[in-house]
Amino acid sequence: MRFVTLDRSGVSPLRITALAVAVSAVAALLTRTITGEALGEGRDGAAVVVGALVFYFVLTAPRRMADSQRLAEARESPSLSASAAACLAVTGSRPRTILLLRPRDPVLTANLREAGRKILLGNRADKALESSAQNLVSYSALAAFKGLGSFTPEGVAQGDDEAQGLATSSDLSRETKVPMLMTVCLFTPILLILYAVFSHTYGAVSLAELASLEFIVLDLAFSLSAAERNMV
Amino acid sequence: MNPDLFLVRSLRRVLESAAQGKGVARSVVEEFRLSPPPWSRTAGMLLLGHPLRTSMESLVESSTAEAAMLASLIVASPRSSALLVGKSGETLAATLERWVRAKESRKLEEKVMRFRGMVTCGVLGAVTAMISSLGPLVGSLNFEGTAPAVDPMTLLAGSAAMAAIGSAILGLYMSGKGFPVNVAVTLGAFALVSAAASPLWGLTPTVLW
Repeated sequence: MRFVTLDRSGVSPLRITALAVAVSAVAALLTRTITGEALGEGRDGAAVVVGALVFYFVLTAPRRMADSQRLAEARESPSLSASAAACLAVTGSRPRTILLLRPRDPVLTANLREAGRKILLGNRADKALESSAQNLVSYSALAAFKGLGSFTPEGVAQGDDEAQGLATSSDLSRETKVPMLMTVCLFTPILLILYAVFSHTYGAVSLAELASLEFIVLDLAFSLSAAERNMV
Repeated sequence: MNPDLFLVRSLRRVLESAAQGKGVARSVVEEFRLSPPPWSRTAGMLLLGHPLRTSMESLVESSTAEAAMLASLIVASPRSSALLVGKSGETLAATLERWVRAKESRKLEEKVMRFRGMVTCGVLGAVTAMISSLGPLVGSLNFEGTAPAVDPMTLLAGSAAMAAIGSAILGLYMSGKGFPVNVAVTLGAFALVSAAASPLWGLTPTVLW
């Protein structure tokens, strides 16, 4: 876990760690209560595993959000660079170009608006862009902003490279996670049924508890796998 | 052809025409005049005298991100220069066309994944049905004392529920909103195998000593 990501997203590392501890403790306690009858002594082990998974899931949530934002910015930066190039060549003025540009991504729009506000307040265009680009997570979007500030708009190729790189990374991650999720979804019910058979857990309540444990485990596996899937 | 790719290529040709000095509105009309209905409306509105922004609004708002990016660039051209927008947009159009093609191939991969998900769900239903059908027989093998009474129907119902949960989660990942089909495949396989293995429910092991 890189704390730089947390700093950029404006989340305090201490706060997110405390939140992760609290949520994982609740999840572990809930799992222990739910599976009390069916798992017997094994309920503590199951609770620890679920708690650890929830802890990891909560702690890495800002990173996943930053990755998603990075892709959105990288995809938008070629268009921003092309618009900026055309606009700069015609107006010959950086402040006017900054005020005229309208990106589709809300974060880029907010940053450009902030830069425009600073320019209207009397700041230099390059300084205004530099200070408002600090929250950007994509290096190609950052390059597009810097290019706009230094009168040399560039970044179509960089945006393409970054977006392609992120898409490839997402594909590779998916190639790993799909078989993992398939295995978990296939073997968790089988193993739990075998557990029920060999431990003579035939009561309706015990079987419902095992089904609840299965749901918790599969839901966590799904949430961890689905993060990259939603990015592309 | 994929409609997104068609639209991106059309907008790319508009930018190329604009770069040659034809004018954006004329290029849009020439390109979209004979296109299918949602896009030909843009040319129609331009010919009726509507401004470029209003005419291309539907293209900017309703199309995919890539086509919308190009359409936004074209719409922004009156604020800069049609010639320069055309020139700077050509590289962008080539990039976006590549992205649309990559997205198309990803969609084909997803179809294959959906099929794999169905097969896995079928296997899951069959295996869980077989285990739960053999459950009463295996469960009665108790060498330490008296084996507890097993109700095969409770075990079957519990197993079916667990298999349905597994296939629903897998289906949600592989097929999205089509996950009920995965659940149906699992439950269908479960019902077939458990019906075929129903004679096993009443079996009791013979004590050989």
